[in-house]
Parts: sequence; structure tokens; C-alpha cells
Amino acid sequence: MSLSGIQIFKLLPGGKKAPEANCKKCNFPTCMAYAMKLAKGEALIEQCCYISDELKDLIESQSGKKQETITFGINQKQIKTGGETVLYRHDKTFLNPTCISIKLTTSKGFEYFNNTIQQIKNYKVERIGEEISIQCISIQNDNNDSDMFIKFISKLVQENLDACFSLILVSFELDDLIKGYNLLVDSQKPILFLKNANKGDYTRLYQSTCSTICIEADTIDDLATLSEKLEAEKVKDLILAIPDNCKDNIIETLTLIRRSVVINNIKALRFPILTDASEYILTQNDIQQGIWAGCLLSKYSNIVLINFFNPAIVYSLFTLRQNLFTDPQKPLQIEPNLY
Amino acid sequence: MSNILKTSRIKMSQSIREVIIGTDKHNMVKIGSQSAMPFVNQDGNITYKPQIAVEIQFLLPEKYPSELVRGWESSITEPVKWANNAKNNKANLIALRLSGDIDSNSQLKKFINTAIEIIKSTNLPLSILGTNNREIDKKVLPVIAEKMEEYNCLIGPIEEDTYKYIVPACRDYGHCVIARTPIDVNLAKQLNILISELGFSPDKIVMDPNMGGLGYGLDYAYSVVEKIRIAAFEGDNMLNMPIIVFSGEESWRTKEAKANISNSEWGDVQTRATMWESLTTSSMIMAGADIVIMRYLPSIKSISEFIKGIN
Ligand code: B12
Ligand code: SF4
Repeated sequence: MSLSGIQIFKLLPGGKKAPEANCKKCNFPTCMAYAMKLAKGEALIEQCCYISDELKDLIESQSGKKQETITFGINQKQIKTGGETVLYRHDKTFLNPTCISIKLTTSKGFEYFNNTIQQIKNYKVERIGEEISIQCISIQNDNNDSDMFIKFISKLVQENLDACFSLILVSFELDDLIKGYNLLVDSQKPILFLKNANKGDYTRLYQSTCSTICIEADTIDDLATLSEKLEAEKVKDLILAIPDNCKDNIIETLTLIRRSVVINNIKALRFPILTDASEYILTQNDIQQGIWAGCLLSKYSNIVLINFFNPAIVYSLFTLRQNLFTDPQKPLQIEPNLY
Repeated sequence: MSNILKTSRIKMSQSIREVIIGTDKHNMVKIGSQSAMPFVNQDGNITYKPQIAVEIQFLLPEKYPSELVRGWESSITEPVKWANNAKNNKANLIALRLSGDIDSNSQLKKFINTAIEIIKSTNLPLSILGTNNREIDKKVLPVIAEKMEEYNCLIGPIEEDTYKYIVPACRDYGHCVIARTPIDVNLAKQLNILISELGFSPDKIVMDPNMGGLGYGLDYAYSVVEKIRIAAFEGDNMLNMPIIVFSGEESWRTKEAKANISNSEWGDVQTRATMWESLTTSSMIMAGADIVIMRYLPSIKSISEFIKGIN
């Protein structure tokens, strides 16, 4: 933040000699003391109840924080996604490591689903002091098999895995998502991804669950309009999926969205972006999907789905993520004794 | 095009220099000339896709990892055959690595003959890679440059310590050079200037940021390449050269690619090795690399399919 304490002070009640000046409600003795802390980022805007919209806007625009941070999933280990403030990691740093989610689809059948979750459940690996495991699973009804979809979710619940993984539920059917949601433990706040829906459905989905909603539309412009309308109806925890007509030039789309948020401050697109690596490959091949997942995570997707689990591929993706999400100011140590 | 995204296009004030490697007789490769960040077609023009150079060894080094030979087995003792094998697997150019005790005259002669034969039989442009020993490179690269006069090869890497010895021959005999500096924008620019001051055309320089592999400092090169690109697009005409990365060589320094173990954490060797070189390569492509020098056949196949599919 580049505003100085004095600049901030001038816009506070103290600086304007307003009656509330130095009321101490912010827990600081004076407006000046608060202004100094705010300038250093050691206090929050919310602490002063008399802060003007003008100052608020100024601080928000100066702080550069433009993408919305959304938290979802299981209470104790919520996943924070979005919140990015820059286009290039060297501008400052990338903040919230891309969520890599293993997607399990109903078309692959129950056995595949069950085998995979048993493997994922136990998967754990350490790299440079970071313990890495699969934290997020997506369940998708991709062949109009609502019974199977519910069966998958029931199985997770039966094994208490809904209290262990953060979840993304994906379907074309509003009912699937509401039913599925209702089965889950209270501490689970999944992302509900309703495909091919209209605004009314999204509103209803939100009203029946209060969970995070992932929305889709035909074009980016429609997506922006939709997110604005939903926000006007107080549906605020949103995730954006990429429209089909942008998938042929996905890197361009993701780059332009990130620019429009962190440079041009386009509010309607400020929500985290979800992509599905399996939609970009030329041939069904896990390595291709792994490579695509790597590209999507480096170029601006906040959540990336892959539709398989393979430890070698997952480990290499985690390594890439760790590389790109380190703060460039603080180098990671590989084997310090080498130098 | 979306109306809302249109406002976020960036018009670049300068494009990357176009560099041509090889001759029209032998399917020359063109790189550079773009005025857009990777795959952001709306920014300006992107004429060429990233090119794959397949690295082959003149003499297989003793410590060459055994897994790395997978798929090349039948040809690793015969560079010309290896090069053709690489061509059949979608190589856009061949990168022939100097090795062995190359400073003996007979070996050097043999190397040069091999290099010429590779060009003639594959019909692909050739890059000639040094030994990683500066003293030897200083001595032999100028000789090779002279003897390969007609072929417009891409020769390097040359560095701050060696450029004075190698660049004049490359200039006189019409080659392109790989200018290597250790992950730093200013050093990259400085070396480009020093090379140009020897009368070498800046349109024949390809920059090498000396990357580290996935998990071993990849992030530094990733960011330096992005910084170089931004400076180039903003108008710095001593940084708007195309970029090459040694993603194969660097991947195979890492124990993740080499370790012949399969376990539940790291997964199986072959998939892991394929991913290691593939992600090392693809992320540098995302940052802006124009040529990637690769080694492992399964990764080469994967990256070539990936490049085909991405727009
Ligand atoms: C990433 C990187 C960095 C990163 C390191 C990130 C990190 N946390 O590790 C940063 C930016 C911090 C860095 C800094 C510096 N680096 Co640096 N760096 C690299 C780079 C690009 C990759 C190195 C790497 O990790 N490779 C992957 C590993 C697995 O492979 P490896 O390095 O070959 O290591 C294997 C073997 O070779 C062997 N090995 C390597 N070194 C040694 C040393 C000993 C004693 C032994 C027994 C074995 C051994 O064991 C390794 C495991 O298998 C290399 C260039 C390159 N492309 O190789 C330069 C490079 C190693 N760096 C170099 C230099 C000069 C520096 C700096 C001194 C620069 C400076 N002026 O500040 C500093 C020193 C930092 C320090 N504190 O000591 C030089 C070393 C030249 C030399 N031989 O003396 C290199 C070769 C680049 C160059 N050509 O100039 N660097
Ligand atoms: S709450 Fe606001 S007005 Fe009151 S002392 Fe703090 S800064 Fe001043």
C-alpha cells in the first residue's frame, strides 16, 4: 500500500475535525495512531466505523488487491482460492496456490470411483518442508445418472470423507446439487457447480444451500452480466467457469481476465476461475492432461480439475505449483549445502 | 471477441526480432517476430509456434542416465541415425552436443563431418552445443563455425567469459549464437550489447536465461523470461531477441527425473521422468520460450502434441 499515514489521516474524522474524531472505537488512542497503522497494513479498514467511502475506495484501489478471495470446503482445512493481486509473480507474488482437484465422474462407474478415493485418501508427500496431499475432490454427474451421483456422495459420507476432503459437486441438475449438498456434514461448504443454468437456478441453488456457487455462461460478457446480477441479489460467493466459446484460446482468455481484474479493475470478473484440464487435451492421455493442468495453473486458473489420480503426475504438478507460488523475494532452499 | 475483455488487450510498442536458423535448402526454422505474450493473440501477432530442438550426443557420455535412452536405443551410438530418429519424432531442429575428447584433431574432424551429414540427411537446421567446459569451447567452436560456413547453425551457449573468442567466427561464417547469462535481465542485455559491439547482428542472437529444472529454481528463469519479454515489448531493442531454454539438460540433473525408484509418493519412474521434462519445458513455453531443447523421447512426443493443440 503506498498511501502514507498522513494522507490517510487527512481523510479520517480526526483530519477533517469531525465530531467523531479520536473516539477510540478502532482501539487506537487517536485517529493519527490508527492512520499510521493502517498505512503499514497493520490495521484493518473495518476497524474505524466512521471511515468514508472515499477513503475506503482509495485504500482498496491502492492496495491492488482486486481478485476476490473465496474460502470453501471443510471447515478445519478450508481452501482459500483467488485473492491474487498481480499478473506476474515478479510484480509481488502469487498468493493462494492453485487448488488441484481430482474429478470423479459418474460415467466411469462406482468401482473406479471407490478405488481412486481409497488411493487419494492415503496419499501424502513432502517437498522442502511442505506436506502435500490431495485436499479437494470433485464429483461430477456427466452422464445424466443422478442415482450414481448420489451413490458417490453417500459413499463419501459413509466413510466420513466428506469431513476430510473439500468438495466440488458438478451437475446439470439443480436437484442433484441440492440433494447431494444436504447429505454432507455441516462443516462442509462445497463449491456447487451447476452447468448450463440460468440466473433463476443459480439464485435458487444459493438460497437452498448458502454454499459457494460456480457459474457458467455462453460468453465472457454473459458471465460478467450474470455475476453482477447475482451479486445484486446478494449471491456473493462465486466461482467462474470458462465459457465453451473461449476454450480454443484458453490462455488468452485467462490472461485477459486476470488483466481485466488486477489492472482494469473490472469487478464482475473478480471471482476465482475454475478450469477443467480434461477439456483441452487432443487425445485421452493423463500426461497431456498433466501438462495442461501445469499451464492452467501457471496462467491464471485458481482451481484446476484433472480427471484421474496418478502420483507421479500429481507430484510433478505440486512441485510446479510450489515453484510458482513461492514469494520471489524469499528464495526457497533446495539443498543449501550445494552453494 | 468479448467486449469486456477487449479493454485488457495490450498493444506492444515493439515486437521480438525474427531469427532464422538454417538455410532454405534445409527447412530453415524461423522464430520470434511476435508482438504478444504467449498465446495472447489479441495483443498483436504471433507468427510461429514454439520450436522443439532435440538434443543428441556426438558421443554418449559415460554418466548418461539409462532411462534417458528409452526409445532412442537403436541409434544412440550413431548420431546421424539418432538425428533421423529425432526428425521422425517431430524435431524442428537437431541440437548436436559436443562431447568426448573433442579437442583432438581427428575427433574434431569427425564431429564436423557428422554435423554436415546430419544436416544433409535430415534436412533440418542444426544447433551445435558446447561441452560445458569454457576452455574447450573457446578453442573448438570457432573452428567448427568456420568449417560449417554454409549452414547458418545456432551455436552456443556462449557466455561473458567466452564470447570474445567465439563470436567473431560466428559473425564471419554466418551463424546464429546462443547467448547465455545466469538468470538476470541486466546481464542478458549486457551480453547482447557486448556481442553486437563485435559487429555481430542482433538479429542472429538467441538468449538463454540458464534455467534450472522443475523444483530446482525453475521459478527464477520463469520470471526472468517474463521480465525480458515485458522489457522487449516496452521497447528495449537490446532485449527483444527470441529465447531458448535447455529444458532437457536441466530436467535430467534432478533426482526426480533420474531416480530409478517407484513408490507410492513419487509414482513410477517413466511417468515421473516424462512429467519432469514436460513440465520444465511447458512452463518455459508459457513464460515465453521460443525454442526448447529437449532430450527424453516420451516428453518430446508429449510436448509436440501439446504444442499442436494449444493456440
Ligand atoms: C536455480 C539457481 C540458483 C538459485 C538457487 C535456488 C535454490 N534455492 O537452490 C539462486 C537464484 C538463489 C542462485 C543463486 C546463485 N547462483 Co545459481 N544457479 C541456479 C541454476 C539456474 C540451477 C541450479 C540447480 O539447482 N540445478 C538443479 C540441480 C539438481 O542440479 P545441479 O545444480 O547440477 O546440482 C547437482 C550436481 O551438479 C551436484 N552439485 C551441484 N553443485 C555442487 C557443488 C558441490 C560442492 C558438489 C559436491 C556437488 C554439486 O549435485 C546436484 C544434485 O544432483 C544454475 C544454472 C544451471 N542451469 O545449472 C545456477 C548456478 C549454479 N548458479 C551460479 C551462481 C554463480 C550463483 C550465485 C553465486 C550468483 C551470485 N553472483 O549471487 C548465487 C549463489 C547463491 C548462494 N547463496 O550460494 C553458477 C555457478 C557457477 C560456478 N560453477 O561457480 C551457475 C552454474 C550459473 C552460472 N552459469 O553462472 N542460483
Ligand atoms: S474509530 Fe475512526 S474516528 Fe474513532 S478514533 Fe479510530 S480512526 Fe478516529
